[in-house]
Amino acid sequence: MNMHKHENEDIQRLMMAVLDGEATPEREQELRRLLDTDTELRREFDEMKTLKHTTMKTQLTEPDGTLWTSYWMNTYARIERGLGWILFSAGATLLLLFGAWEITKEWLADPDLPVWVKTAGILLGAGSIILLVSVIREKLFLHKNERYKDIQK
Amino acid sequence: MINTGTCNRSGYLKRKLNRYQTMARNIHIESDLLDRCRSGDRQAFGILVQQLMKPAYYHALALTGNHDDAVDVSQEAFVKAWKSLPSFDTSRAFYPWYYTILKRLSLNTLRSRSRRRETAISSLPGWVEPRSGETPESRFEDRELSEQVNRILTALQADDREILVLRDIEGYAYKEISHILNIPEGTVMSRLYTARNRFRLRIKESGYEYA
Repeated sequence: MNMHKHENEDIQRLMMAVLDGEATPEREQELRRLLDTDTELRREFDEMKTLKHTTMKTQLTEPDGTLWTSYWMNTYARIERGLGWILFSAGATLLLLFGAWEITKEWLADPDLPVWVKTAGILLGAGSIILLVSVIREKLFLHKNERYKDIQK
Repeated sequence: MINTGTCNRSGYLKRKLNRYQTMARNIHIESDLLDRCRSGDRQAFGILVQQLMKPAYYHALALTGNHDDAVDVSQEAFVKAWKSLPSFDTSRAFYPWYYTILKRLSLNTLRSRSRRRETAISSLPGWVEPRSGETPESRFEDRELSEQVNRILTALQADDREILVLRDIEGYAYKEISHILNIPEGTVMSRLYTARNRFRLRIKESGYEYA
């Protein structure tokens, strides 16, 4: 059964090689002999040959010529924008952290606030940091280990 | 019934194909240029992009079947390649590496398109056209054929469409396809057989009759 499958696969590959002019004369002869004895195979081969010639009469639609003149500029703009976003995000994160630190300092130093409110605030902050770190670590692990990481789910 | 007129214009088609191939074929990148790109030289990367933009666009077009997506995906793949260049192994060829990024992005685009269901690929304008015919009759006949080819190719899976376009429309040799897709030549033949067989069955379903 398995041998039959391999044999079939070999014939299929041979058919493709002959069809595409990539077979040696000996291999081509080998296929011709097979085609002479197997009418079903002959029909399949002839149909594929016709379809190949049909497909070869087409070409991929050529885009407007201006695409090529602006192609690099547009790609460059994308690269620049990417860098812009990184710098913007880094700056915004630093400012937000600084703001949060200043507010926390003022809030902790406020003598009017009861101790339990300050304690709850500290617990809330610590919990948020732990959750954030955990999510980031999981994302990094997935990114490193996932086989199809570049394919969005 | 469509008359396929198989081989009578094969010489003419070969000349056309050769012209098309030289236009989109040069995918080999010199190591000097790659080294300059890796060291962050944007001007060098510009030269690389300009050398590869045509094959990149046409390969993305074969995968996505849509002009806008092909532009978007091929440019985005260059951006990703630029960002990952420092970790690129220069002992490998650049284009097959770039092509894996291009293909992943194309598959993502196809997935999100089908998830949104907003644009079925079959409703998009044709991305395959006839090579210019010699007479008005043959041009008309070729247009009919190309519309049919367009429909069938579009309905196929991206993997089948990819290999058929590389071989039959762009005319790459097995060795070149094997290089671009990073698969053995035997696999190229097997994938071609599968794709051609699916193409054959679909075109039969659409009422195509062999001359």
